[in-house]
Amino acid sequence: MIASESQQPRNGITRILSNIINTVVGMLGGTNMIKFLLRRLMAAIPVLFAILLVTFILTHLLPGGPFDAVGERRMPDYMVRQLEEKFGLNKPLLINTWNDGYYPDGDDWKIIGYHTETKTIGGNQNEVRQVEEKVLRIDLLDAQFFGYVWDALHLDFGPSLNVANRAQNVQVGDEIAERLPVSIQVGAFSVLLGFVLGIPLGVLAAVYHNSTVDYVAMFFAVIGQSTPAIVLAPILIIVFAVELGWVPVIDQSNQWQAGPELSLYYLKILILPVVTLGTGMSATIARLTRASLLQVMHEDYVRTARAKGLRERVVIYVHALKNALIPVATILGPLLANVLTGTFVVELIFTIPGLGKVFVDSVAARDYTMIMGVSLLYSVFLISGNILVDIMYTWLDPRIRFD
Amino acid sequence: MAVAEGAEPISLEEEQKGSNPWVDAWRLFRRNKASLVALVIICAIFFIAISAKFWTSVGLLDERSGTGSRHSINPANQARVDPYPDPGSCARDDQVRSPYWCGWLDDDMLATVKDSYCSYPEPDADQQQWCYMLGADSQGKDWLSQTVYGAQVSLAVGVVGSTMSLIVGLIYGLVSGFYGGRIDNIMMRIIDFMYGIPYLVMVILFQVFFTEIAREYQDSGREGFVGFILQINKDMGGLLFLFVALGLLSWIGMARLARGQVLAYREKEFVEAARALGASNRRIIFVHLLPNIIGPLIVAETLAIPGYIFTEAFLSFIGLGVQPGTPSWGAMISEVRTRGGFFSNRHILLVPSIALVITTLAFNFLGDGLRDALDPRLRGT
Repeated sequence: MIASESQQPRNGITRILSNIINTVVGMLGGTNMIKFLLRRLMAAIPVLFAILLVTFILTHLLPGGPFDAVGERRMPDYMVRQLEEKFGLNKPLLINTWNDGYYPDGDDWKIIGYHTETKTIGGNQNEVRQVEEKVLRIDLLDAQFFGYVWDALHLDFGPSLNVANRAQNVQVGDEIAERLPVSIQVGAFSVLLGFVLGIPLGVLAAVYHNSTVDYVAMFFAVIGQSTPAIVLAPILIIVFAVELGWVPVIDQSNQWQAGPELSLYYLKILILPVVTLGTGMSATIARLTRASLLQVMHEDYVRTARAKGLRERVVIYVHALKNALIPVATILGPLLANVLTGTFVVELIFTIPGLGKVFVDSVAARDYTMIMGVSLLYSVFLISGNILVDIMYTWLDPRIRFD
Repeated sequence: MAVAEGAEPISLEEEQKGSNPWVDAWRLFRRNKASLVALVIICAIFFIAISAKFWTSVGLLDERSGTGSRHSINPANQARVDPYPDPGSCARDDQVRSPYWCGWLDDDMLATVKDSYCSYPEPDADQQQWCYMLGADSQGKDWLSQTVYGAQVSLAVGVVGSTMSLIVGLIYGLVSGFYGGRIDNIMMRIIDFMYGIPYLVMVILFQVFFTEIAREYQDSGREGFVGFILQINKDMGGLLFLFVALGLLSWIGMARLARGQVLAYREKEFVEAARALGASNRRIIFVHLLPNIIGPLIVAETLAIPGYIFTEAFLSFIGLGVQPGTPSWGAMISEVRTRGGFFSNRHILLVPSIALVITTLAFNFLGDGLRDALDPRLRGT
């Protein structure tokens, strides 16, 4: 009786739990998919570690350091030493060997305790001494790199070493949290523009296949693909910002950091970067849509739909387009992974205070922690983008299985 | 590309005539007029870039670094003279130039120019004026010369980058796909690993690293192997390290593609037949597999060339590409921008921009044509 009473609610909870788990597993694509995802996530760990290692070695091999100079003046040595001590840069870089000379205890023999020792000197005169028990202290991992990794595992990415930032004790995590939304605004709106512009263009080109519409659309798509941001952006700036004066050349009221809002000013500062980045994307998407739709239009089920007398519009826009958009949707993964790199370019040209600008500035300033933080973030985005592609494939195309 | 379609289907005799697959491919390629035009344009750009030295010796172009020619755009230091001269603006030039090129101004024009634009206080009789066809930058270097020499950089990056990535990716993919098993597994893990590396971030880090090392060595005197490499890099205008930085990461996609191709063809009947006849692995790879898989790889590499050119232009734009003083289209655009050219003399911006767009456009069209010719499965996409 007691047992069944105690069993009953647990049964209920487990049932609900297992239901929830089943739904989640089902949504993610079955147990195989979960296994696959877990494997991918596990595989990402050594990648991230290696990226940290490579970035760390590269940045520290660069001549000079973050504390070399303030503006034009060279920093005195004792101040450099103090700062290095403060930010832990006096530790050995990778591995703390015992001839590096850095021991926080002041000794390579660490005192772990005492014991007394009785010594007989001469007749009955005993001397009781306290003897230190020491171990050789070889804490190999007590170095800058592993310290950073350990902190990063706790989501603490250290203080920024930049001149402006270190005085105000700005943390890398906070700085990234402030700048990342700016980059995301540019990237997200560009992807949106790419799809909104690209899909209709591609559909139009495929529907009017081998006609003037097709040729014109595809010609513009190829031009869009062949125009890099560093060409398009200056021209857009000259025409719309300098010449026509419709939009400001740079954002003067800190709107980027304030975030998106429904105002004309926000639209004005947003439009040029987004058009610059979105044009290339829409060109790629348009060509992909066209190719995919043309391929689908030759399939049997489309012929069946035509044969049973459906109107051409229904055939194309309902039957064919649904399948044709599968490859187009799967491009979202690589797009999202690449969009941060794309914003990188656009941010530098339009001087948008996003992550790309922070990265280039921090490389110049030898802001080690910031470089590592931003590189880590980019690779996390890249890896999750790659994983997202695989998930989307299974979602959209049930024929693909991961076993 | 769409232009390829609508062409007449291959007739029977044509089909029988083309026994050589490369002849077949050329016939298919030739039917795509846009790609043919692109090929001609690319050849023209190559020709201009390679023959730049000749035009310099003749006197049409200046030395690429501008050190050989001593121009003074703003000779009288007059305030009203535009530091960003227009196309066709005049410059004082004490170089000996061939009188056959357009640069020489006749006496009437000289008079008008003197009155209107760069009015010298006391014109020297023996110093004649030279007219830049596309203007000059703020330091008085000929813009046209820089564009032509910039083509060398862009083409070199595109060609070397794609060739390197093709070779490395092909070898990697062939080994991985052909031998399979544990080797394949390990090699694919490495590829998965490299896929997580943010490309541009790493290229920027490498570039900064290389430039700084080069600078440090230069201060301390160049010696030994590193000094030798640095000297080569310096002679190449900083391109060597750019090639290394691009090459370290760009072969990954190509290796995946090559492996997929090998896997698709490895179990085909003709390979099995070759093996049954006692062909060695090397013969199977080089005689039977390679000609079959190379087509899509070449197409992919051609379509990737604009990417390399963009990367170089962007890196030069932010000052991490070629060495300062080496003309590059990205660096030229950047110079117009940093010297306030967006507001003053903006049409010279169009020159490197158009050059960049035409080059990448030509490579894109060429890639499309090659895909129609070499990759039959993807025809018309």
